[in-house]
Amino acid sequence: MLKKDIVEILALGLVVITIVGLPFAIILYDRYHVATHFPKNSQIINLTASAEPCVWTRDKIVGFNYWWKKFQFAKEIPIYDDGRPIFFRVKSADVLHSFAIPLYRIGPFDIKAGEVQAIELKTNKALRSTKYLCWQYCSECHPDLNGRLVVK
Amino acid sequence: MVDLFEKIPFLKKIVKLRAFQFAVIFPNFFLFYLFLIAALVGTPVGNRNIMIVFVWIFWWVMLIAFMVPFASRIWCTVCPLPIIGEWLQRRTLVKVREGSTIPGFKQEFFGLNKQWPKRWRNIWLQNIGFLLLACFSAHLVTRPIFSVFVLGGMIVLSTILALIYRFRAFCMYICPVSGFLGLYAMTSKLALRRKDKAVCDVHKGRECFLGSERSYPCSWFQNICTMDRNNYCGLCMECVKSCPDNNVGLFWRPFCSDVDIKGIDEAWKSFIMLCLAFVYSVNLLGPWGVLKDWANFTETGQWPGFILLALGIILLCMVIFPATYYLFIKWSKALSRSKNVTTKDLFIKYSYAFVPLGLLVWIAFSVPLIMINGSYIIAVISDPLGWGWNIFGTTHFPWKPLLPEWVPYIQIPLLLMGLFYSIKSLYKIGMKIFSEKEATVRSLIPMAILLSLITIVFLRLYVG
Repeated sequence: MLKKDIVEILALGLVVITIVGLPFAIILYDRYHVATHFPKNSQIINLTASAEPCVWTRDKIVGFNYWWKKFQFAKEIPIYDDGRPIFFRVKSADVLHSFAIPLYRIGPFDIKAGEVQAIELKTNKALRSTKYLCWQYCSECHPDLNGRLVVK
Repeated sequence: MVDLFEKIPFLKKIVKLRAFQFAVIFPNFFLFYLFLIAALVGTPVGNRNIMIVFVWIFWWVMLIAFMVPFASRIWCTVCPLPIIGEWLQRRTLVKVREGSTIPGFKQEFFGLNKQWPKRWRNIWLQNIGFLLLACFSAHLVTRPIFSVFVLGGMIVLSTILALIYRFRAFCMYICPVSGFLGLYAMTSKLALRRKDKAVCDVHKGRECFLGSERSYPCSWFQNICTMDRNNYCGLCMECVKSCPDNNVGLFWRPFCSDVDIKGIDEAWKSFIMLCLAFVYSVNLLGPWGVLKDWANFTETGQWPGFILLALGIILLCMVIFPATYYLFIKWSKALSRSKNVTTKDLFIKYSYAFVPLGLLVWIAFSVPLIMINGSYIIAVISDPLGWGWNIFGTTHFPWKPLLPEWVPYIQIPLLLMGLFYSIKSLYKIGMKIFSEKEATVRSLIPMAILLSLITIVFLRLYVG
């Protein structure tokens, strides 16, 4: 095989690996990140706040769907009282929000737009269903930005 | 002028490698693919998404403040947008596929290989494209998905056009970035040119234009033997590879060495770019909330305001500014007392005045971009998608303007430098046109007044 053919094959290989491999690399790195930052078997609850549309949602709000998708409001979030640690990964899709679970004296935590805040639900009290909410005025829909954690 | 190929022989060796172009494009191809993915599945928040932060802060500043003035169209050398089309057209990534698909050329090309329509062999489409994009600039530079539509659309269009038209028709005639890069590359310190005219005159092979068994033809339809401006040279370096006489040099030269504006389309490009620098400065840096609301119509719902703003931008760039300039040109011609030059000629030639000034205005506009918002780059490299990663430990790097009090003191000399180079270049052009000092100086008076007024407007806008 000629040297120029080897270079061509290498170049083609690099392009194909990039096109196919990069999305997988991103997914794998995200899994690795979660696995190394949270204890094994944790209950991880991804929650995103958005003022427009007015929602706390467990759906992923991303660049592609933010403009058209109707996100499901997480009015009730199940948490399991089985001794496993519980973590919230809270994000904001637009403006500055604030996350709090008053019953457990958790928060308020600033949730800056585009950043992810990892919050552990740590309490001495027995788990029971309670309210979570946005703690600071974020938009006109602020009073509606609340939901419940439901113990299963 | 210094020939960098002679000063740094290693540079020429690298450039002559068949894999050179692939090697410089591939890293950008990889990054750009990452940016597209980030814009689609990453956070919709612009300042936490690598697409917005890298493209519209880092890339833009690098392009306008460093690449264009110091390295001409080097961005076109490494640009990943048209490369899929070019790979498909050549059906190779590196090597040369010999054949005879197009009469006169010694390579094989895939696709229809049509010639670009004669009527559109100018930069009007680029002018219109850039102007339309500017109307949506508030969306383009803040919404990742909008950047995907625009930049992804450019990839799709360049690929389709590469399969219909020969070589880089998209880059030459459509790409809105290419349009202003070409114009401002005239000021650049770097230029690829033939070294010795006599060598070209004797040699009849025209490999630089037609390609050879070890190189492709010039994708930019340029003939290096006669090329005397940077405007349409994408620095692909194929001519360096193909020239059997080693008669192509990469020259380091004084700023603003190319001064010939050759058509009305190029003249309008200079108007559009200068006016858009004004529009961007007012809209993105100014304190006028109403205009921001109009520009941000999808969120504020102010459609009538947006339509008014867009019409205002188009009118300013296409009619008001050119008409004002025309009046000054009339005055210039009257003062010169010359009968050998037409108003149209003077209108075209003197429009170069807006090239150095325009470039420096854009650089001045970009200074606060990097100094005020540059810290986002540090945060976003650790978390390019806004998914909560912390790859390099800098995700929580706070937004921290860098010496914001210095911004006006950097912008003032930049604007004055633009004014200086514009007047200096006009003098050079005037001497070519009128061939005598008195007529040149007289013709420059109105232009100096106009340029000074423009500089004062920008000083007022930036410094207050």
